[in-house]
Amino acid sequence: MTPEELVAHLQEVDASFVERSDIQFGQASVWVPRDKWQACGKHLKECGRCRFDMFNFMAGVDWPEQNEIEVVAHLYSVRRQHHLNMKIRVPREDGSVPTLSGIWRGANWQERETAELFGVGFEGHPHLVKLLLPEAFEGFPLRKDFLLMTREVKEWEGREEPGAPGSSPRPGRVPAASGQNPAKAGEH
Amino acid sequence: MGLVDKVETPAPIKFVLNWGRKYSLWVMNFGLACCAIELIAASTSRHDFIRLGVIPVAHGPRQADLLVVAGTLTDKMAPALKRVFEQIPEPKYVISFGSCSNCGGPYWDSYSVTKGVDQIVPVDVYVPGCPPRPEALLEGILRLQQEIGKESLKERFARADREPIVVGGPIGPVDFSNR
Amino acid sequence: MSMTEERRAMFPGGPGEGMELVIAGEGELATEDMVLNIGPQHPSTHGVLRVVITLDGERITAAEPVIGYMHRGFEKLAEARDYRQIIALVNRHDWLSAYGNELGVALIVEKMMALEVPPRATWIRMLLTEWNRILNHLMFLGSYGLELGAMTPMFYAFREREEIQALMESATGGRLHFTSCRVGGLKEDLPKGFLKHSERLVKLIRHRLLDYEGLLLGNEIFKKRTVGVGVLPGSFVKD
Repeated sequence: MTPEELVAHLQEVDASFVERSDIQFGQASVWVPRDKWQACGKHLKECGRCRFDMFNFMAGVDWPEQNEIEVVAHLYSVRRQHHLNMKIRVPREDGSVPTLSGIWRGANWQERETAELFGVGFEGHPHLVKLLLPEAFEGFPLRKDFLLMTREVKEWEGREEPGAPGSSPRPGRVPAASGQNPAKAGEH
Repeated sequence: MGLVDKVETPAPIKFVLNWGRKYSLWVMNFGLACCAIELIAASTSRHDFIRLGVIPVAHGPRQADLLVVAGTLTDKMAPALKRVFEQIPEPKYVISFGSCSNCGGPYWDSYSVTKGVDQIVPVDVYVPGCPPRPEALLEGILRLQQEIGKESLKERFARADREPIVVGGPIGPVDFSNR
Repeated sequence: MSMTEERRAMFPGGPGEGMELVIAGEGELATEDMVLNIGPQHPSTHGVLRVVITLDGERITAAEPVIGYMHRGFEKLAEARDYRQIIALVNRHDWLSAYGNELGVALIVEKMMALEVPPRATWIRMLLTEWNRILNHLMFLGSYGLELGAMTPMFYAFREREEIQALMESATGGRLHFTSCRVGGLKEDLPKGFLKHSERLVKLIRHRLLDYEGLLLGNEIFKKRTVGVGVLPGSFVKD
């Protein structure tokens, strides 16, 4: 089904599934309200037309100005060959999302990863412990306010565009001021 | 340790002893990431470090003399490295292979990477590159063998307990509970 | 098992100190499952994977993988770099087929920018990615045999790999991490004679693949240990 058809189909099945929707670069994204999150997932997996049998990935997006974290579940159907992104926004402090691990087994580890990297809780998850980070790790790395400490302490020359005015001459490159073979900004 | 750490061995014996040690460095492969592939490539037919006496079939740290740390060391993996290093009997040598293990490499600003294995274990040879060519590893091994040839075991063992160089503070208590 | 609790209570130093030993009743051996750690460092080429297994004698009854020993935080690092600079980091995700990873990033960015890539660059990128796929599969064949105890396929695989890596090096400058793919095309065109050499190498490797078939697929032990072992149903894999 094309992205438009997917969104229309979901709205047909239950209008409250789709809070709003968006189609970008050929992929459909639907924002699903919290109380319908699991029901929507179940429908997407079991419906004959949708058949989303593969839980591809779960990611998060941190929106610091709106003080929210958006959890994105990327779903793919191997049989029907279409994508869908299920999105939900939760507050940054103590936000939590119902778990999808009962519907797709792959969601189990993906949710553990999202929980430790963003600080989002997943209700009903059987074993929500850290997956990738060491147990003693403090903080939520993928939030925008988590700074990379090494970058704070140390300067990195790669920041400059080669050839831009004021940038340091690199070995093998001719400085722009000399007039020969001026490197344009954006050239590698 | 008997006489080895009390008396300077006479030159002919020292020559033979060091010659035996440097040409039979059994290596404990600590291949972690991409550099492990180049480490394996260095041990196979084209480049072949086995002809230098460095044999990669140490069945465990107890049978090894040389530890080659190849690849990115993360903070989660660091206690395992320390434990393996401590299990290798003296005299032991460490080659840090690749820029991730030298200094953090392309992941120098990551939150979970140990910027350099020399924070955990004392390194004898640094082989830079990303990944280094197998020829670079061969050169590293040859230089190490030269150094071993000149080494005096008395000085080595009489030195105070070798603690790893800790840059920026210790990483925390090492967990031995096998969980 | 309540019997083990009793036994624990009887041992010196335990809560109910004493030296009384409870003998397993009814002629049964009291066995306990052993929890063993296949630690993050092990001689196989899987990199760092830790598996905590529960053993009943020699049979594994449960296995829990513990990962994260190679988590380098790429997503956070990508926030501090622009789309061209992450190509150098991204090819270290699957380090055996590095060009494929770079291509993935380049394709995504080109899709987002609606950037059209010249046809020659498209074909060359595809060619280099396919050579990389062959490199990956050769490594797989070699190390698969190594884990089951066969050392020879490893050396054969690396012999082939060295030749292909020399070919890739002539085009991109790297043996393992090429960083030659760029958003919108390639770093530079192929060198003269690349395609001819490529053709010759394909013929040579095809011929040598017969060796692999003989070594691996014809091997009784290999077949006994792999055919029908550990079959995963399709729905399990996709879930």
